[in-house]
Formats: sequence, C-alpha cells, structure tokens
Amino acid sequence: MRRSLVICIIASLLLFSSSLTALAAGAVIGGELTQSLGYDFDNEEISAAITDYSIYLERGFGMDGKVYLSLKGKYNALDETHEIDLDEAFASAYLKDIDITVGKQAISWGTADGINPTSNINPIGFSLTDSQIKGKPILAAQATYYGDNFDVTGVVVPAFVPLQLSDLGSLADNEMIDVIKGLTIPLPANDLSSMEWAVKFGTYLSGYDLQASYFHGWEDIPALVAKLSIDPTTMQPKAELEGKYRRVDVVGLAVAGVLGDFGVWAEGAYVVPEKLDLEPSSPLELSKMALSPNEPYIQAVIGADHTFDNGIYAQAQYIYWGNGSLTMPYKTDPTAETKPGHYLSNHLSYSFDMKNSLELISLVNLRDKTAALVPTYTHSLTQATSLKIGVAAFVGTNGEFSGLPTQVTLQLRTVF
Amino acid sequence: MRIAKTALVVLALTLLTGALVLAHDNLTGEEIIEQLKSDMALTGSGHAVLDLITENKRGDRREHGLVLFRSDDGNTEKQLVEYTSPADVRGTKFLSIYDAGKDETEMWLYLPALGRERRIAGHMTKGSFMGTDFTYEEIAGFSSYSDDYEAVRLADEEFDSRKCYVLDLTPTSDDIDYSKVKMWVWQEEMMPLRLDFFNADGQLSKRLLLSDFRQDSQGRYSPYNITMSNELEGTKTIVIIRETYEEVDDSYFTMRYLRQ
Repeated sequence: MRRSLVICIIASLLLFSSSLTALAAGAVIGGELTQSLGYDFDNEEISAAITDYSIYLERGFGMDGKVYLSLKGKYNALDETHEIDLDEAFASAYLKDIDITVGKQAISWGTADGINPTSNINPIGFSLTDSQIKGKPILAAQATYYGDNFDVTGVVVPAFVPLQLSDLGSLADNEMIDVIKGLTIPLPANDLSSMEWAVKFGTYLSGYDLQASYFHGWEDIPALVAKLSIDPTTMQPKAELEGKYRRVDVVGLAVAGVLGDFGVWAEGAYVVPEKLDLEPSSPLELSKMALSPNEPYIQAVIGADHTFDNGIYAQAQYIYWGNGSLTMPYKTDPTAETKPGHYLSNHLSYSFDMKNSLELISLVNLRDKTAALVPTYTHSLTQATSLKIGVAAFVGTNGEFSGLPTQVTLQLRTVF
Repeated sequence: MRIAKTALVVLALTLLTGALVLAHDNLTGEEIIEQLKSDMALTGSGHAVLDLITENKRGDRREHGLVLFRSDDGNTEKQLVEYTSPADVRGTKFLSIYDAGKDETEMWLYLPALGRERRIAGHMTKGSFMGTDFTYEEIAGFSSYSDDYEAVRLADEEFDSRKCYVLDLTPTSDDIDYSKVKMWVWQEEMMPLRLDFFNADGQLSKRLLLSDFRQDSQGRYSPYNITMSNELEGTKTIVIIRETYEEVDDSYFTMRYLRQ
C-alpha cells in the first residue's frame, strides 16, 4: 500500500514536471530587479533601502489562450525583512466569441490615468508615481463576450481579499494606520454570500470608447466608527474605535476619445457603501460617529493629454473625491463634516534622446492649497538597465500634503 | 515564308517594345507617382516580423523586435504592431485604424503594465513613434503620395546602381509637415528607393532609404531594409524585415486581440 502510494506520488511528480517542461518550451520568461534607496532630507536619514524583484513566465497558445505565472519579492535592508508572493497565476482560453480567464489576476477597468473610480475588483492603494498600477492580484474568474460593436465582461471573486493597510500608500496618515492595525476586525465569512461580482459593458460610439460597469463587493479597507461610552467598571467615559468590512455597490461610467489634438477621458462612479449602524446599542454607549463615509458619494476624474510638436507630453486631470481625501480614507475628527476632495494632477514628460528623459508628476489639493511634486530624471545605462533619480517635495501649510518630509530616491532598474 | 513571318513578328515586337519604352520615358511626374507600387512589406495586407533599430547621434543603439499585422482593403487601413523585445516593452501593442472615407485614424495603445488599452490622440500621428525617427503616421503606413503631393519630374539619375526617375513633390495640403520631398523611383519596378524630406525652411530634414529588395513568390519586389535618418538631429531608425507573410486574420485588428 505504502509502495503504491510512493509510486503514485512519483508518477504524479513526473507527469507534473513533464507538463511544466512542455509548458516552459516556447514560453517567454522575464522579470525585473529594482534597487531603491531613499533619503529623508528633513530627518537626515536613509528612509528606504529596498530590493524589489519579479519573475514571470508566459506561454501563449496562439488564438487559443495563454498561461501566465509571476512571482514578486521584496527585501527591505533597513529592517532585514523579506517577502515573496505569488503575484499572478492564471490561464486564459479564447473561445469563439468569449475569452475566459481563471486564476489569480489583476483586472483593470476605466479610462482615466492612474486613478480609476470604476476599477474596484482588485484592492488598490494610492500612489503618486506609479500610474500603471493594476492593484493587488486576486483569485477571480473573468469572461468577456465580444459582439459586433460591444463587449460584456462578467467577473466573480469567490473570496474577498482586503487591502493591507501598509499598502494604503506612502502619503497616508501613519499614526491613524497604526491605531487601525491594533484593532481586531473580522473578515467576511468565506461563503457564497460573501462573493464579489462585477459586470462591464463596453462599446465604441461616434469615435468614443464607452464603458458602463457595476460592482457588488466589499470595501478594500474596513469602515471605522468612533464610539464614546461609559466604562462599566470605572464609570469613566471611554473612547474606542470599531472597524468592520462592509458591502459596497459601485455604478461606474467611463468614456475616452479624441478631441482635435487632445486625448480626452472622463470616468465617474456612484458609490453606495453599506450604512453603518450609529445607534447606541446600550445605555452605556453615549455616541457612535462614523470616521468612514456613511452616505453614497461620487468619485470622478476628467482629463486630457497632448503631445506638443517639440515632443513634450502633457497630461492634466481634475479629480473629484466625494469621500474626502485621496490619500487617507478616514476622517481624523469624527465630528467634522466630510468635505469632498478636489484635486488637480499633472504629468509632464520629455525625452531628450533615447537615453535621457525628464518627468514631473504633481498633485495639488485645490481645497487646502497644498501640493506634492515629484520630478524625476531617468538615464538609460543600457537597453535593459536604467538609473532614476527622483525627489518627492511637498509644498503648502496646514493641509493634506504639508509637513511631509522631502524624499530623494535613487533607483536602479534592470529588466530582462 | 516561315522566316519572313518570324521576322515580321520580331519586328512587330521590337516596335511595340520601343513604343512601350518611349511611353515609359515620357511619363510625367503625376503619372509616375500614380504608378508607384505600394506592395512593400510594410504596406498592403499581411504580416511581418521586424527588427526596429534606433540610433542616436552618438551611435548608441536600441533594438526592438516586433510583429506587424496589416490589412488594407482600399477603404480601411488597419495595422497592429506587437512588441516582442526588449523586455521593457514586450507585450506592448499598438492598433491603428485609418478610415479613408472620413480621413480619420483611430489609435489605441495596450500597455501590459496598465492591463488595458489607452486611446492615443490624433495629434500623436505627427509625433515620434516609440522614440524612433518615424512618425506615428509613417509607421501606420506610408502616406498616399499621389493624394498628398503634386509631382514634377526632374532629370533621371542612377541611385544604388539602379536607373531612377527623380521627382520633386510639393505638398497639396497644409497637414503635411514638409515643404518639399524629393523621391528617387526605381524605373524597372516603379518602387521608391530614396526620399529626401525638406522642412519649412527648405533644409533637408529626413532621408528614407529602401534597400535589400527581394522577390516574393509572385515575383514582386519588396525592400527588406528601410532606414529613416533624421538629418538635423543625427538620429536614425532602421527597420529590418525578417519574415513576411501574405495572409493576415482580421481578428488581429480588434480590441479583443489587443487585450489578449
């Protein structure tokens, strides 16, 4: 019995390894290695020393489908931590009119640049510089039907994956995040009723790409409630935070096209979060106040880009964020009214030649008149290796981007 | 009797050939440009595997491998460029669809890192394509010279050991970036071998050279080396055609393929 089990295992391993070998034959293998060094000018200290790496294998089967597998790793030299994770692992089958993709994948919807209110399937943090971020890959099944001049996509996510608070973004309020990390917040149950799903309809009309989408799922981060109550043992007032993951429904619309010499786009979402119960549940509870939005709100981005005759690329976006701050999704003062965020983002880039380019990314909070500016110079050492030096500077007082330390980042990136 | 008949046939053929040669030599600039063969590997319908090499003024080179799919039914010109190397652009796809009736080009760029397509503004048709010396417009298919230019024939010249017609082309539309184009056309095959593009100041701005001509199964010649030099900036883009295929499936020119 034991011998037959061993034979079975060896046979399975051999079969698996031969399948892997067959899969690898004709596959494209690639990856990248990035070494980043950050220096905090205000505190005069090295703020980051990180090695990021990724490796992927892609095997296409012509018009029949493909298999994709990637791993991502990160070594932080400052605290000597190392993490490695399965990034994406999916198989796609291209049928007569339908493309099906099943596995751990990143699904990106929308038409705006970098900030996409209609892209809600994958948990995603805020990044000033990485405008091509697709979000954290999650297990999902996706099917797209292609008609004559339209396509319909359906996505099912069997198990909810939250956004790690550490991935919320480098501009988030770290003190607040530390408080939330200390809370015990249960995840939704892993049953059919907890599944997430989304549909998207896309078409092309009068020169414009149009998308309408609907998402029924969970918010990426927990909703917070500040509770004031009387401690029954001491009879003293006590303030505490409660968190819960809650359902959200998002109706989205997106459009992209060309107006004269300008690329133009608009993307908006009407977000309906599950209502938080703010009624005191016992006589000892004095009040409950939401730190997360407790009413439906709108998120919208409208933008345009243009390439000038001299080669300068310019892009501008106006961002309306109905739930308040773009970088920190919680109110710090529970009694304060949630005011919509108004932002202007810009992206300018210019390549002097094939080896040298300059880029400027900026994000201005129009309400509090503070801004984040990130100029970057990139030099290609070889075709595969580039050296990037960037500065993250923050201007203004008493606002979202004020008081943040100026950071200089040096980055060496090799792609293979 | 038989000899006389043969002599008559030879004489008739000689006269006919002479007349044809005479007719060929009497071609006007407009007639030459109308007869230009456009069945180059980068035009017409089919697909090709290419190397795209860009060179800066210091001689530094950057090489791209790509597959080009093209379809042209006379009314709609569709093109899909798929990058296979180097690693940082691998998987990038560029789709352009030109509607001759509306004289409009719609363009989409798919970036793997973004995971979806992006629309490209029409203005970028005048801009540099992926940092090369070709404009988006030029890589999306060479412009229809007979529509866009008025041609005047100059004295014939020899270029690259081939007898050539030389044409002076003046743009008929304000949309053309050049004030003048000088074109050398291989007389035997009616194919352009060299084009000199002059800017608004009359300076030689760019030079396009077509070489390494090879015959396909139907005896048609196509250039397998296309070099565009920016004479003002000292940069150069070389397209080396590795393989060409005459067949192309229409499904390549869709959003579906762009996303796959």
